[in-house]
Amino acid sequence: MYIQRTTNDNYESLIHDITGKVGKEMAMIEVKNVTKSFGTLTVLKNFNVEFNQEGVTVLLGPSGTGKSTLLRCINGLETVDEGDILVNGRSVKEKKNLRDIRLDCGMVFQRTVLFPHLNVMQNLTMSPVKLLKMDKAKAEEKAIYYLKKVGLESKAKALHNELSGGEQQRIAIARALMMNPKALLLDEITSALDPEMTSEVLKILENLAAEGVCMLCVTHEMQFAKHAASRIIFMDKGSMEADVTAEEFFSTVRKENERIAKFLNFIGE
Amino acid sequence: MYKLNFNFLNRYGDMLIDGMKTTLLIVFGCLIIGFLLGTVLALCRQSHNKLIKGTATIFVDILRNTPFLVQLFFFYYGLPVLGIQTGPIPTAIIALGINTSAQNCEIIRSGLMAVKKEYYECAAALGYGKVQTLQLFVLPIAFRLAFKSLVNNFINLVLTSSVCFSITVVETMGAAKIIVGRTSRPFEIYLLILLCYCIFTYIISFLAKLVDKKIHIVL
Repeated sequence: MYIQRTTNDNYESLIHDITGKVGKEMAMIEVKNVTKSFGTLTVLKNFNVEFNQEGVTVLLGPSGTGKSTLLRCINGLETVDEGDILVNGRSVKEKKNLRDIRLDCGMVFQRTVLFPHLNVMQNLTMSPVKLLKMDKAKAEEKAIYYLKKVGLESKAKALHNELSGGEQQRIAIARALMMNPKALLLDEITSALDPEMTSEVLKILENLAAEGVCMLCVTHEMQFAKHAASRIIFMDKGSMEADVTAEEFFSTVRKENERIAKFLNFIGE
Repeated sequence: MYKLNFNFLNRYGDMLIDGMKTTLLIVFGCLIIGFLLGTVLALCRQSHNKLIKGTATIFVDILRNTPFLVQLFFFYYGLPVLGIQTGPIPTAIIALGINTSAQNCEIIRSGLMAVKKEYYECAAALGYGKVQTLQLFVLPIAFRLAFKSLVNNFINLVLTSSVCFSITVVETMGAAKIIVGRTSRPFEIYLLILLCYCIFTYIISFLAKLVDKKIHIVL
């Protein structure tokens, strides 16, 4: 069963798509026995996990353990060597599915990419207009809605080089939300920002999490993980070390699992 | 002391203006061919298909490593042997347009190479296909990055167009040659032609600066 993408122009109703109210009964993303290598380095080893369209899942773990690769594989930016990933029942291995998968899973990268020849409004509206065939006026109305949400409605005409790093990331989040994704994949989106900008972005994410927006985040921001995550997956050397609730992770699991305790101590948590 | 005399303009002014119109026709014809073919060649040179890439590379290399005058003569005097015959003006437009495309190809390719991998990934992650990514993001960014060099090449094209008189095209230089033959006032006529080319290229540079201000991007 597929969750059908709506082309309804009424964005107020579309916003519900991302708040976990659709398709709760099925796993939205199924990662099945996935192995991914770069040359001789195996980044994901026979990895299995399922994500439902609800809440915030945080992927934790040391650098180089395959967290970002997992997100990139889900979005089809990397091919899987073995196994398969199904997003709403569609395999990422089929090229014809990639467009729908990418529309279902909005992605925001560590290094913000706003298109330099477009201003903020154009960056936000181009994709709904071109890909979802949304009316331009509706798209602009929706863009203003999301710009307000990320606190940047005054920057609609700005170019990317007129924005701070934090503002660019907030715009990138708004741009991803414009496409009504079923889930947001966030790949270390605060790691290139200074603490002030990081807190700006995390505040937006916490607000979105409070609204029930489904997110899958790779982050090293423990406070965010504590406050916003409903589920934490700890990865080490391409395998899953723990898959628990945030509460369990920061209480019982860190006491019982030496590797996780060491990681948390190392990052000062 | 030599006395300047521009009285010939009364009689031959119209011929000179017609020559300038022909120059404009050639230049804008070449601009379109040079830009479109240059873009296609640049994309072919970036292709992963070895045959496409190799063919485009050979084509561009031949054009860039041979004199334009020889290319022009080849098109005008050589190709009719194979039954391919066109008039002087179309031949000038085609030959100069193709020559310009080879120069533009390398400029546009440098623009394409400056487009960061992140833009391709970001467009893909948003759900765009390859053609849309190229059309909406990669080419607009590459053209903006290459704009100044493309304008320089365009100015070069304007100046090179004067060579076309050698295949009997009566453009600005061709008209000047005819008028010189009839009036024996080479100093005034060639001085006037120099000024005309100079003013034309200054106008292009001025307009290009205005456009550049509008489309300039920072990566």
